[in-house]
Amino acid sequence: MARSNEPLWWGPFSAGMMIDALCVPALIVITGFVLPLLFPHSADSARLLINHPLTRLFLFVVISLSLIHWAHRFRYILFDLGLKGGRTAVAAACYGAAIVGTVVAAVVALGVW
Amino acid sequence: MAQASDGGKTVTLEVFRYLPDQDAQPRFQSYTVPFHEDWVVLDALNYIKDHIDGTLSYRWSCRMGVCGSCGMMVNGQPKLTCAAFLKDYDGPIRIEPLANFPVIRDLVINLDDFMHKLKELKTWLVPKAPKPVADGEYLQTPEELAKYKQFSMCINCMLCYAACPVYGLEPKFLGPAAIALAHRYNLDSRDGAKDERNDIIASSEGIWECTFVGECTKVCPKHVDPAGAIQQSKVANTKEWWLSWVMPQGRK
Amino acid sequence: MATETKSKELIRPMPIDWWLKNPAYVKFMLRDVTSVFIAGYCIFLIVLMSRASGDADAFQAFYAKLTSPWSVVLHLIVLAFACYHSITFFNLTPRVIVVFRGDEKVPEHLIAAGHYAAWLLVSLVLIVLVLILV
Repeated sequence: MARSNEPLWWGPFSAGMMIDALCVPALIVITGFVLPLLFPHSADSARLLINHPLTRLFLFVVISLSLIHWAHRFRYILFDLGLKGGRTAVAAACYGAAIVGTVVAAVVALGVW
Repeated sequence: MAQASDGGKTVTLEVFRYLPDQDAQPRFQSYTVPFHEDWVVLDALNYIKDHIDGTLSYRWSCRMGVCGSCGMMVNGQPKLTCAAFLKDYDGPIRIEPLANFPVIRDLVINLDDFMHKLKELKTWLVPKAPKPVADGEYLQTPEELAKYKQFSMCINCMLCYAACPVYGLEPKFLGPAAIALAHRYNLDSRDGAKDERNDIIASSEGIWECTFVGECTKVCPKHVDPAGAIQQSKVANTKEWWLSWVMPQGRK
Repeated sequence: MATETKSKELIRPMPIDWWLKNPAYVKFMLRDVTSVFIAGYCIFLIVLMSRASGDADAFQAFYAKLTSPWSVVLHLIVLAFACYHSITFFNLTPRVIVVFRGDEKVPEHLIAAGHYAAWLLVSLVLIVLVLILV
């Protein structure tokens, strides 16, 4: 029986799970409560922080791994909900969407868009 | 001679019946048995068979949780009926055959699929090199034993397969116990068939089907933790896959 | 030798709503669905970066929207799902990460506790950085 190439996705997927678990709640607290409620008039300094290369790099890594985390889990949610055939198509659609999202995130992070 | 119950109490069992030569559809039959503080569901089934209805078919053997024969669904949960105490249940108790397996008759399921998977995965010790008896025993340290001991406790009762929705949806999935047992031998320092087993468990019908629902570990009566075995295999096989790109010699 | 006859075996297919029948399965689906909300938040992060790259006044307007009740409520919902992911994930780490000290396993709660400690540390660092730099 041939070994699956699933590890291609499972590696980044598990990295995404870890990064999401560690970083995303704090990010949500920052954009949802710290910035608007503690610094409602500091749009300019917030903008400087968001535009810093390290911030952009960090956000890009979080976003791209989160999208692969989503793609992998969503693929299996579809199977659990009863999807039988078209497994390759579903995989292509899910991981494809994650890759497109990653490219968009890269373009935006680089300030091009 | 029917045993008197504790305090005159009785318990009702609603038992799944299916006689392939008579029934087009399964049905439930109610039986009232005497209640005893120390009785398990298996005792109640044996009472039914001995005193009420001899046509009921079911498997059992050791009645002490080591043979793995008496697995059934008790109120929708996979359990060893020799370990399910009547006193822990309120009201009528529903007994059905183990989920996710074809039913041969009444509470007896067809477990050929599982047996086939065990053989396919070579769930036995495959020596690294031929070793005649005259060469003496295999030596193994307590540390080497500890690595696989937990996974060796599996009694092949298949409660984990009944709890696993992935197996229910896709019978081709190797399943919790088979993978846990493959993992047990892969971790055994005396064994030499790790690559052969990984060829199968790392295929698309192996570990990658698992979504870590974790119910298999929850229902396991021997605390094997098959879910853990599967996730550990995923990590090991992912490392190997990614490393094989860096060192192409070992690539399959 | 006896010949084998196969009577009609009964197959019991899983119902389409199998996951609603058992609380453990519902919790599992909920856990998986957290990834959708986190992905949604990531789209928000992409928009945030894009607005920050653009015109300062346009960003000011966007930033002001963060104080709206809608933003707060949406953030709360996504935060709940993100925390559910973190908690379920860290609680499962002892199943995956097994460390032996000789022939004894490092206790499971320590593996999980280590991850929770990391979560606290990372969260504090991120929030303190923002408090200092903004």
